[in-house]
Amino acid sequence: MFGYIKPFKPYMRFCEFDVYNAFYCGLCKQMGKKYGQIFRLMLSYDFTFLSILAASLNSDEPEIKMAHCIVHPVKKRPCLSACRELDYTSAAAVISIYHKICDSINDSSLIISVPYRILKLFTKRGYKLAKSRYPELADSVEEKMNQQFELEKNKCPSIDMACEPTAAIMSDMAKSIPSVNGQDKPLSGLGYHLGRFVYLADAVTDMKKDAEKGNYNPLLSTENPEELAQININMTLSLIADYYCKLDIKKFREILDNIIYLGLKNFRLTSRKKRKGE
Amino acid sequence: MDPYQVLGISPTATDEEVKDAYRKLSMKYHPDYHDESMLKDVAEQKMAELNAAYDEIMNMRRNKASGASGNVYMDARCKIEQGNYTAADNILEQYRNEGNAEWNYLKGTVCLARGWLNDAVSYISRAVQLDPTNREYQAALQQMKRRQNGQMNGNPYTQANNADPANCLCNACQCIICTDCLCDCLGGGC
Repeated sequence: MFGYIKPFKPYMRFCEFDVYNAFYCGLCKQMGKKYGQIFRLMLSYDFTFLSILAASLNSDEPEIKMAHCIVHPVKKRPCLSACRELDYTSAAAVISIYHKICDSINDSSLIISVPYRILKLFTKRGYKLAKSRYPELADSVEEKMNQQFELEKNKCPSIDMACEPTAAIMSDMAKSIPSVNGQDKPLSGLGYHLGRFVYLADAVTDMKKDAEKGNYNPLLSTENPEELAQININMTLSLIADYYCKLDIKKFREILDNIIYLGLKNFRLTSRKKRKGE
Repeated sequence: MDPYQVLGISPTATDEEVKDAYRKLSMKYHPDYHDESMLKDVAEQKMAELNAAYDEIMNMRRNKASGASGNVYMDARCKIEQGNYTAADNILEQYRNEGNAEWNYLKGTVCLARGWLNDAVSYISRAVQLDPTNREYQAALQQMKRRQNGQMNGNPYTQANNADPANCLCNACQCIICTDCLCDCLGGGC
């Protein structure tokens, strides 16, 4: 949702990076084709991870072709052809993007929210389409985003509680990966803690800005926010690893290992959204 | 034998239902009704079983009202093992004011499973505080400490744990310098 679930490139092999890019491009194209080009501007790495995770759980060989796209008009890039996994993750991404926009409207003042309101207008059709295909997922995301809004409005002092809505959304998204047999529990646990991690990572990144502006940030209600954040992130990563180990991964293990064990830990280096003053 | 089974009711039955079931069955098996019959011995035995079961249930419920017995925590433990955390939490919440070491440990375990990690740490710490000799609580706390320090199971990159590329470069330089020293020692120049 925020682009914190990324690989750590220095430790990635070229062949792995090609597959990673193929998933990214495939997802981007699929979203554009099915739900509207506008969504392609807002694709985050988190859903590339979700796509690879979804594909890694079965042993079907993915079809990767070389293709052009708007962003890379000259040179052909590896691109994953449409498949069941991309079909699901593109819908999940659209649902998440739309609610992120709604959330931004709620969070900002009337004037600042104007561009978001325009975006909302353009994304509504795509969202409705995604919702018609995955109604349960869309409803659950909507409900949890409302919970999140309430928690933030009431300046929830508990970190665990503040993380819950985002974590629950990611848990639902991981659990709803299509045609996975008997891996619901580890997937749901993995998703939960990935969501928790994303929320924490975002809170850490925004900590300084929020302190200056007096915005709500769950970490700021504590005595030693830096230390508490690190402890929380460490615990969450540890549980991510535990649930990840329980999954029956059929392929792409190297890529997933890279993201889980290196990318997450180094989110400060890899995330696009940099901390203010660093 | 399960006392509830003897009375033919479920463990969730209310006190009234237990009494009702007992009354009905005792009418059926009471030795007075079987005075002349051949079934007298059987009825007597059945009646004894009924009485024992009824007493056991009533005792259990009385204990429950005055404080959770070990049985309740065993029940919660079973639920946790089955992965039914909501049920386990419901049981625990009934005895919140009891708050002994076992209660705190179980509550912490439920929190951990639900992903409420800060709560899990504080409950498990409390359990260790209340009963410092219990190995199980200690082990759980140790594990939480390892998690806090960033332990990740199944990590294939343990060599490059910090994944700092500068560090690797440094190691490479070190190797080259050491090799060079060896060369020098042997009189060769490189």
